[in-house]
Amino acid sequence: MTHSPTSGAGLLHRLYPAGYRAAHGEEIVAVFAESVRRADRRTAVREWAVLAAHALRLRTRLSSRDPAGRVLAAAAPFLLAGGAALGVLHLLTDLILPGAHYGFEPSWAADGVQGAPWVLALLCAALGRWTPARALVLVAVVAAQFRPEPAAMSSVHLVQLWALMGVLVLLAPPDAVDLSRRGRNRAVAAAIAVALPMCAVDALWIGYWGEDSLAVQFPPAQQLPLDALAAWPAVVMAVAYALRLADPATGRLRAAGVALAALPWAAMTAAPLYRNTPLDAQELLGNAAVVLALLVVATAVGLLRRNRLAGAARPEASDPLR
Amino acid sequence: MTDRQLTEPTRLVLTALADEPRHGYAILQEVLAITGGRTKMLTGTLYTALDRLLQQGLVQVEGEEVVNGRLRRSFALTDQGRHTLTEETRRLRAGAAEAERRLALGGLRPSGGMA
Repeated sequence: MTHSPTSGAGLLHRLYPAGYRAAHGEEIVAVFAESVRRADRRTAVREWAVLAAHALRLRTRLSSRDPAGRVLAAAAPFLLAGGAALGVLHLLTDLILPGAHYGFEPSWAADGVQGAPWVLALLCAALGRWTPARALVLVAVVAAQFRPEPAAMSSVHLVQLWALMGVLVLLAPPDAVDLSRRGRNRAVAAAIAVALPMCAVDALWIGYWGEDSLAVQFPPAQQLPLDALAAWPAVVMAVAYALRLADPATGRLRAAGVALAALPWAAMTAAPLYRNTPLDAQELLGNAAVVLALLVVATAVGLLRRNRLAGAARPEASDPLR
Repeated sequence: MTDRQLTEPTRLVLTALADEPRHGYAILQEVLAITGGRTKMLTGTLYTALDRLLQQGLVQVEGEEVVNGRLRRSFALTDQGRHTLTEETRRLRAGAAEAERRLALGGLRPSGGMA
């Protein structure tokens, strides 16, 4: 079955921003019409959808040629790493460990399962499969909005953190995401670095509190370091940002993307629960100040190192994909 | 040397332009031919790649002509694009050579049980 060459072409044409449409719109629509002339319906729909996405990315300035798009593309693997680290944490503390200590609790289990698509998404990305990774993030974000009895979920406020991370991952232009082996290794390393200490703390404390974890009161000497541990994910992202910035071969937009991946962690709550009580505005501002301070230090360290390395003359070093 | 390998659509577009300048639809046809009919690049994928390659200076607009009342651009590799494709080809060749070497070593081993 063939498809009409002009089907949807008019709408596609209008989707492009005016300047781009005036310069290249007719050329693109002509290539589109030629491509779908003998195509089956499925191919034609794919052609239309991918071209519409191209137009919308240009219109919203989130394409890989736009600075905002390149920053998001650099942030995406680290946002995915963070989301997956939270996913591992909740699989462990809501599904695996409580089952061992208190028996199976369906509402906790449902909570833990929310993290599974994130973990699977990171595995896909680690294998270089960004399209299924994005699909799984979309599943995670959408499923979290339709979860049963949201008030019963112990990590209800973290759904918002996950949603923020997920939306940013989905907005990132896929063609600019670094899926080189080194890039994938960086994302996996970041996920492990974020997850390991948080999981260790939860594993140590899981028998300490009762089933009503809201009632747990830690002595100040314990609560203070636990509160500080809430900043751990942001510390990991700040270190990753400093390392990227320090590399003269890395474009500054690409480094800035890693800094962007640190910002959502301002919404992180304290160990060992990492859940239950949503942050109030004062706590959120305090956390944001900590994250920004970490980024300022990382910027200073990264730039110092970058300038020193650049001074050591590596004229050929450049990242044309910045 | 870049710290990133090229994505497949990018590599295919650069390869399609390696011998001569081409316009959009001709690039799609060339990609189909290069891949032995396995890869039918979508129009949106092509122009996403072209926009980025133009912005990175790996591809340039070689000429513009009016065909059936429509402006049509033809694209060509820049020197930087040619260099990038050369480097990528070298990387791929090295990987393929290593794979062949290991396969050959595996083929020399006696078949049978585990050590």
